[in-house]
Amino acid sequence: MSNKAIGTVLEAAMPANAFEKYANTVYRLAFVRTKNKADSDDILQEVFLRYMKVYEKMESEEHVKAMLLRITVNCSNSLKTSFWQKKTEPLDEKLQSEDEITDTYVLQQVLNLPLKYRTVIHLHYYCGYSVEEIANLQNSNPSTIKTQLARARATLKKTIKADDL
Amino acid sequence: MFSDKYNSALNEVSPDEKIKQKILNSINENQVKPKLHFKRAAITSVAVAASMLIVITSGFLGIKTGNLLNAKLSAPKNYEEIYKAVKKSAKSSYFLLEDEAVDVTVAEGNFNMYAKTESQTATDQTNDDHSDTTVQVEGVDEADLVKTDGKYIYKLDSVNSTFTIIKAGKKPTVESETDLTIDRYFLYEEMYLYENYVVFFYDDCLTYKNTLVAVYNVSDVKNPVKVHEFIQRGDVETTRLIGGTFYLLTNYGISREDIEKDEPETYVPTFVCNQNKSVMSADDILISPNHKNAAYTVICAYDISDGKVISDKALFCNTYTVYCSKSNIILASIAGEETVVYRYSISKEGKIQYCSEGKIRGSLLNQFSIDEYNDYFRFVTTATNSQKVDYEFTSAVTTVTSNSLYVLDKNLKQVGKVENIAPGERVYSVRFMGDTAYFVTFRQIDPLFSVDLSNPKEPKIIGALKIPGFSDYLFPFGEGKLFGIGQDADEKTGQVGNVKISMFDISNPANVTEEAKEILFSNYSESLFTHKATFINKNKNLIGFPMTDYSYDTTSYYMIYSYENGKFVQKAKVNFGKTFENLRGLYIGEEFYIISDDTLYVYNISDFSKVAEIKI
Repeated sequence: MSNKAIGTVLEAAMPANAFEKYANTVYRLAFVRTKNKADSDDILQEVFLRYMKVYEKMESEEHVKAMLLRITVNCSNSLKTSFWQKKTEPLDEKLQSEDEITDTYVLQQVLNLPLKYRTVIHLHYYCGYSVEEIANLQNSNPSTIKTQLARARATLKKTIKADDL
Repeated sequence: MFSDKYNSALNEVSPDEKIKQKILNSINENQVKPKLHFKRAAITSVAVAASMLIVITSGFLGIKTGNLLNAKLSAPKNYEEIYKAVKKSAKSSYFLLEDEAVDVTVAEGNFNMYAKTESQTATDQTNDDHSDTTVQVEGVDEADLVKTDGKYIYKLDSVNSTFTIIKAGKKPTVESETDLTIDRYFLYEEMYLYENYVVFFYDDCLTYKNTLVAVYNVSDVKNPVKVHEFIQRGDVETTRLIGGTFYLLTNYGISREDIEKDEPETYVPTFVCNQNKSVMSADDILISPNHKNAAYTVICAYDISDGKVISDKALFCNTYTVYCSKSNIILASIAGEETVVYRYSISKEGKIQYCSEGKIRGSLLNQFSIDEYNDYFRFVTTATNSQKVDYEFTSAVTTVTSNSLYVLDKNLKQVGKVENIAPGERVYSVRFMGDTAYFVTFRQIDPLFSVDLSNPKEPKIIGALKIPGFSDYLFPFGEGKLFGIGQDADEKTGQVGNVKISMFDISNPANVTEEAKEILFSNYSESLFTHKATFINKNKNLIGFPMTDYSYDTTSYYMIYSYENGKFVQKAKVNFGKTFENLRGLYIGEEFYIISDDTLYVYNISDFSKVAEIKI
């Protein structure tokens, strides 16, 4: 839905405003994809640089968020990052026993998933997107996304007992 | 709750404040004051989600020679008619990045044009006795992570974008490791092997609108060389290889902002063949009234060795399942609660031609739900029905699933059917075997149905075996036997359990029995999700599949069973350590190979004694 008049730029789309609101969101998606804080910092910068070129076209708040996430997915595919290394940056806490399923443990399990799976898990459970919206974001088929999400959930279920998986 | 913990953990992950400030400063410096500008067209509310029925007013157009007239599809005479149809149904995209235009550009690479395949080098130890990818239709190859020609094993690692060639044998050696990286493209996890050529394909990550196909010549195994490159609009729906012809089907979606009336390449599929770009001719395009947004299904046939496009067609319609036999491609598209199916014929030379359209109720699970046999097409679907249930003082409408089997002739006209099978359940697996079809439905109990299709006009359910759990895939295993891999389930509660393998005796389809079963040690196997992960060979009496155990530390295994005297006998359980998936098994001559992303094991195929292990 468009909520701006012709010929103006949406307030929420202004880069500074978009940054205040979505810097962390962009950073976190980049982190889940690259598993690396240094790369995520680079991507954060790159995303907003690119966003500066298109912000005038944004038609709504949702459009801003989706655009930023789309750019983030694009940037975190780039070979310029150390993304292709399999190494995960160790999180601060040591691995807990399976009785104590901590937040960090949960995040670690997600980061252990292959790239495509942890991306859909993140977009669904953190960004709150539906299968259709995720398919739209990656210009993929909803059935492909559905399969990826189902497989990701099935995998996570093995070490995390949760009703919402 | 997973969601809470996940969110909570992520909220601790934030960029450094200094970096944030730095970026904010640079934004404030560069931020251009908003200026007035005018959109090309007035902005009105974006139509959300509603299906749009396109009425093609250009009238009733004859379809090209050899094809049947069909009142529903229309064959556009020119690009203008296509433009109108596309424009009408195109939705706004959220994703237009102006400076990264939807342009088809060719990736860089070293090309060497090789005329034809070169013969194998002298010391030939090619063994014709070797396994191939587990496929649905014999003679129609499907892409997979691993391929072999009996002499070498070709392995793809898509995470690292490397392609490894291993010389098979009792002392395997890595001959080469090629980096397949192409900037801004994302390698798919599967490939094809045909004579001396290997075919890879990639997603265009920047625009998500192109698929790049790279053909390498591997006659020199130490130095694979890229020889051809194709780029096709859209992202991969599926692929096949028949003889030396590679078929690529893509879904090509178009957003409103992309379309320029004067530039057909913005609304008509294009492809690039070794740097020569073509826009598809209007003759090769058909417009279906059945679509929710502007999207084509594009089918192209490529000659692998010559590096040419043999044939190209597009259907303006989304596809969700594809079936391919040696002579036909069936595209299935959702139309409300029904599925519309389209038949395109494919000739031996790779020429694609539209033939007919039909309709069935319900939706198809996957490619195995469709089968071609003796010029008939059979389908098994799951449909949702609304049912009115009467209670004592009131009534309610509930939606119930039910399952059906349809037989269509070569014009895709219905000739026979069985409907309302196992209401309340859905189809989990299907296997057509000539005159008989087997399929599994599941809610708590798993009936394995046998359907007699010897008379296409009167398909008959002749058997229903009820067992707990379900099979995700069914494979014929010699005369009178059907192998299933799926999951077990608790009879009373329906709670799904561990991976289960079953051998069904189908010698009398009217009285199918579960002759043997084995429940495995965990509930995850890649074989539950793709038929290609299962190795099955009756002649060698071997069944192989991967298993992953998550109980403590993620560990994956490759299991090998044979079937003796009505029982599954475990021949091997190979530990691959901490790897998630991508395990495959294959045999060449006397050796059985099991391969993961970083290790290759070689076993003797008779006694499964270990012969070799190498890192790859």
